[in-house]
Amino acid sequence: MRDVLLKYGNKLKPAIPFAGLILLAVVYLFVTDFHPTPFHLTTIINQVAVMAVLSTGAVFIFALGSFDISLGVAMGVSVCVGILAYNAGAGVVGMLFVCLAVGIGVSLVNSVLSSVFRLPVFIMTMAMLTVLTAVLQILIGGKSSLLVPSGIQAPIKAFDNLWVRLLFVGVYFAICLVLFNYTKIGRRNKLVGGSPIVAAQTGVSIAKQTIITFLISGTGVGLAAFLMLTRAQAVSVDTGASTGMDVMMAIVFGGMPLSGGAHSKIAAGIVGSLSIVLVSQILTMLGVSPGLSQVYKAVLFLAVVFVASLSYREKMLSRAIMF
Amino acid sequence: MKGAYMKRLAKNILLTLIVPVSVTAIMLTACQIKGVPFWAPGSGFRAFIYSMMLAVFSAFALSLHMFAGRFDFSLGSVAILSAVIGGKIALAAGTNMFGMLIIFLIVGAVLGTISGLLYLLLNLPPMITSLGVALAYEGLSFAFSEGRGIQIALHPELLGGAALTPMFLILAISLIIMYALMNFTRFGFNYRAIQYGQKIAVDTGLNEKSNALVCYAICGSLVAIVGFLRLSYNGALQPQLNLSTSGTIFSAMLPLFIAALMVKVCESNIALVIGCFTATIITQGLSSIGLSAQTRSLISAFLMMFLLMYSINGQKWRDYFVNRKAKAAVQVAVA
Repeated sequence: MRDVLLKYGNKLKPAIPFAGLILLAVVYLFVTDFHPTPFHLTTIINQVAVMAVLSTGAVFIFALGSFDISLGVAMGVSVCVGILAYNAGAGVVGMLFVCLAVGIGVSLVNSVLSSVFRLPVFIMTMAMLTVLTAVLQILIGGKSSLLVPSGIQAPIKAFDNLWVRLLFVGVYFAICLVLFNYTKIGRRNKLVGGSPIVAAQTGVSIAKQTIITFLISGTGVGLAAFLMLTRAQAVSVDTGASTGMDVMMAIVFGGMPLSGGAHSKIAAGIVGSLSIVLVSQILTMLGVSPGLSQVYKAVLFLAVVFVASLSYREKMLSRAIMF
Repeated sequence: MKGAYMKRLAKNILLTLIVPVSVTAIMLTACQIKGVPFWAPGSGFRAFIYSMMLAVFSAFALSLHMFAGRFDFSLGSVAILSAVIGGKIALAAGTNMFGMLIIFLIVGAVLGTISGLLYLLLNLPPMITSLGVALAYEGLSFAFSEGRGIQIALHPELLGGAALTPMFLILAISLIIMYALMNFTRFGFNYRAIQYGQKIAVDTGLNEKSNALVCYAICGSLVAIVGFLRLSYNGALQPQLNLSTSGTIFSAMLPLFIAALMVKVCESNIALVIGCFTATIITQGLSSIGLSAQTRSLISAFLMMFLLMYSINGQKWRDYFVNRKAKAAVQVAVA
């Protein structure tokens, strides 16, 4: 029985997240009586966009067999500096560049800490999460939030539309798709994730690869910050606080193996983000309370990840060296 | 032989105490220079011990998992759900605070065991399992209390748990139990064997699953104490959603990094308590000299980053300075 499960699990594994997404879409159509309004679709895209961009960039780090849990707060800092720049007269384009510069800058610091000081990425980004949360609090200046004054919000609001979001997500995903699947950056990422020793023996510079990976992910952080800013025109001390874990959930939900390596998929970020948003929407439309809604999400998450990982069960319990 | 042992023991005690004593001295001096008291008048000392206790029990639970190669995001949610379920049972049973503590410990152990069983049954990376468990437990604590959480403020018989004497008692008993558990029981020996060589330990017949399960149950009870203290101190506890309970884990990171520096010269549980004491002294001192909460967080965060860098690169840095000194000495000799 176990062998049969493993055999079929192995063949079907890549299709499971997509099948799950299609199933969720069908359920969603069912709960909207097969008449989703433009409002419904816009709501979904608005919710997916930020998460999809962040998750797609994070796939590169995941492929290395690591994870950056500070991504969400890095985005919060990026939004905050973007608002400060805009309020100081930088304009919308200037604000976009500032968001990108901060996102890339933070990622660069992470990559240097990881590659030069050889800090384990997950633990290092947890320390970075604390640093960035404190930086965000200081930038906001002891208040609970920082806003773009209502008198100068109009130019930003011009970018708060569906097409801009689709354009940002589409272009970033297309670039990442090419980099991940058709260039040596992606191939080396999977190789390092599969076995850092083999990668180093074949001449891959792990330090260089780590820096490139974080730069790609940092670009995603900057773009996600811009999208969030155009939508909310504000930042609070809680912005992005739990986004890091949401991204992790989305990527795993999208079919990414936590160990990274050759089985990594660039689509995992978008598929996972869409799935999670669809689950939330379905539960909301069915009138499920917030508490129970989260319980159902947890059960679904564990079930999907369990089925998707059927083919790489190990005899020993899964663990990793933390220190 | 005995003399050498005593000498080593004295050296280890000195090295263990040097960090907390010097940090305390620095903070007290800073307060003296500023002309402000170290403890806020009134309940300042109790607040300090309360903060330290939260850090101690979170760090105990976190370290037990981390040193075994697991990362558990669900610890904060276990604390909240234990408080919601345990508090309701205690209120219904009309028990006193000691009864409530025992109920919390049992509920925490059960929740931890469920979390551990999921990890064993699914055999997914613990980080992933714990994400799902954290989501579920947060949702359940919200659903069980209909979003209202748990209030015991009107039940004085349940509120004494966060007074100084019970807190010291809980700390002393827990420390003795943890010390005995890790150093004199089969569980502790097996835990260390798995920690340092999982494959060899499993190949020689050690049951890592039962060890992991006991670990989860213990961690559940430890964070249930966090829930007990928070509920006793504040009189109420609100449920949290969207994985926001993970803050419990992050607040235990600085003590853990301080403890990681001391484990070479000190027993790990004692190192953790000293790490928590040191981290809380730093926060208290910075608060007393008037630094804002944001600046305090930033200083703690940079300190944490530095400790992490030192714990991994310390030997390399020391070698670099030793080599530089040796080179300089050779150059002087040649000249």
